[in-house]
Amino acid sequence: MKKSLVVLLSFIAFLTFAFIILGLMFDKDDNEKQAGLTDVYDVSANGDIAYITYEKGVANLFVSNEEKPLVQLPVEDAITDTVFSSDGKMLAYTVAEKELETSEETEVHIYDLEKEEDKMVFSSDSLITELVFDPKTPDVLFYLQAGIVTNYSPVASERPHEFDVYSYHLTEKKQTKHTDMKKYSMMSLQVSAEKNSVFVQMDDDEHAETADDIFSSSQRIFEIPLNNPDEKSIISSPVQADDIYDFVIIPESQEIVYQAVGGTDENGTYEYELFTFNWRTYKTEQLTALKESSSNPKLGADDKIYFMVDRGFGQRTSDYHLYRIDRDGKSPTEVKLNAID
Amino acid sequence: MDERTCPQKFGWSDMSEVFERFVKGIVRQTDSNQEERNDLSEELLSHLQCAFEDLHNQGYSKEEAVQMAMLNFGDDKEVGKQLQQAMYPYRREMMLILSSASLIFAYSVYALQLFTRGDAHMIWLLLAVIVSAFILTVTLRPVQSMNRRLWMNGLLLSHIAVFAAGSLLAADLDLSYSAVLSIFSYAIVLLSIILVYRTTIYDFPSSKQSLQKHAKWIHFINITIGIILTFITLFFVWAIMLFAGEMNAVFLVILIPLIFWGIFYMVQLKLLALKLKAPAYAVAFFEILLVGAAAGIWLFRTFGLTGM
Repeated sequence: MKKSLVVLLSFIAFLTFAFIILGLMFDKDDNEKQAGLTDVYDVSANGDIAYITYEKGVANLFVSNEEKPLVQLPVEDAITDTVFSSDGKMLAYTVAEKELETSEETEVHIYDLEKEEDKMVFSSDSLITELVFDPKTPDVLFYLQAGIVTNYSPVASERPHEFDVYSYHLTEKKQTKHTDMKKYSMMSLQVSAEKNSVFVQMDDDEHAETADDIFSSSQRIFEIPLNNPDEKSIISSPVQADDIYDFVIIPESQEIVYQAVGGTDENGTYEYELFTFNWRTYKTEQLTALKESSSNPKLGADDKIYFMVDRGFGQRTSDYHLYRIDRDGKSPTEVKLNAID
Repeated sequence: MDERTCPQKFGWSDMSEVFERFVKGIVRQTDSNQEERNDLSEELLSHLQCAFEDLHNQGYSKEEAVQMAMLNFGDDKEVGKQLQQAMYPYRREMMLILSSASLIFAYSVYALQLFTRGDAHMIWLLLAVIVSAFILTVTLRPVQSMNRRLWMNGLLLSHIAVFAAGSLLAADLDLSYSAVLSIFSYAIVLLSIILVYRTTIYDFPSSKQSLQKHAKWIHFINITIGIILTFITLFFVWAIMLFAGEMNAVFLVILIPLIFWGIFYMVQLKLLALKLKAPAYAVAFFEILLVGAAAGIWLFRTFGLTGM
């Protein structure tokens, strides 16, 4: 018994040692684990699609049917947003470190698609989450910047907060801070093609006094006049009770296409769908019914709504697929992207 | 076995060495402690002595009588196993199943985490293998010199903590693996919990407690509360690891219920050892009330308000 026990324990020790060696060989750093398509993309006026994929944690920026990425970043960096200029000839994108604890510095690059040149146009010590070209002035790039990246609760992970709207004049090389709101969250930045105003999604918590008030406040779409940001107003449906997340404004049809909760699956996981709200008729309609997590709507040059679908929503890793759908909600189809199998 | 004494007419001391060696081989097969082994050895030696006397009286030589007494008794290992089974039915089998299943689970979860997630949970693997190998070793080679209940329960509680953490690693895998491995981990933890009850209440009762029946009840109540509190604590540890950005000393407050539980448990056993039955049960009742009230308040705050 004694001898057989020694043999048995020796075998267990050997097996454990072998697994430890395998662990040392195949353990991956968190930065190296990211893989596949992300939800960061844009569609241009001439039909191009810019999208980001990760391979072994390396961010690749692709445009439409290019076989090779326009840009490839070091493994520790991520692209937080990308956006085409109005004429589709420039592509702006933001580069920030994946580990926000290490650095919140963000670089804004512009890739000239005609000259095939990449240029870092400015950088910020804070995290820039979204970019958008001003349709009225192509030299102006608007962006959302977080004042702080922190966890307000000890049981929460670090997230960007204290958002405000900024812009950068590309020729004058001048940064301008347009708001002083320090919003807990702000997203889906869009710039009006006619007025001197921007549209963002944020919490409707201006009159909240207690923590419960803040917690029960809803997320709405606001128009912020840049010459007087205090005069901001809600432009999403006044009767919509649920939170509104991503959105795209389609001025010619006086519509907002937005993301909201459409229902829950059998496990209680939220299903996000796209809806349209017509601010002239106050009519709301459901656009998608994929029963997944549809997000990030954008209007394409083909007059179709592009959006991302996360088939892995609620699971540990996301599984993004780019879709497009007719404006009346018909024919949702997956968009084939060359860099994605 | 009946205890009887036989007259030692035939130079018993000459035979005792042979018989003692034989008896030692038998008692080694059991999970008994030193005191129980001494009692068991004494009893077995007495039986052998009687058999020897009878055989010698029938005309066999001393050597023949010694050999025949041992032969009639049976193979020492086989007798030892039968004694073990009679004293602690299926305990050894349960321990062997626990240790081997734990090792299979530990290697499987570690390998799947490594190759599907890229995460090498080396410290967890080492802890899981050490605790499982320890259980395997003490099952195959029981150590008598130690306080079995204390170290066995310590070992089993360590096992529960390590494999409860393992169940979280299993749940974290892809759906195709996580369902099977999670059920596997729950079965392992359940077996370990059953063994804690068994060890404390039935197999190795404390010799310090004269009120054995009441001690069993006090153990049952406290082990049950302890298991519930441990799982609640582990749930909060998991939530903190999942959502918290970094560890904070404030998180140690989640250990307070377990610390109080330990104090209450100790007080009850001390009171019972002093034969203060009613106060021991009063403390147990107060402990149940406290846990029940905390659970009630939590349920009311979580579901009651939204249901109103």
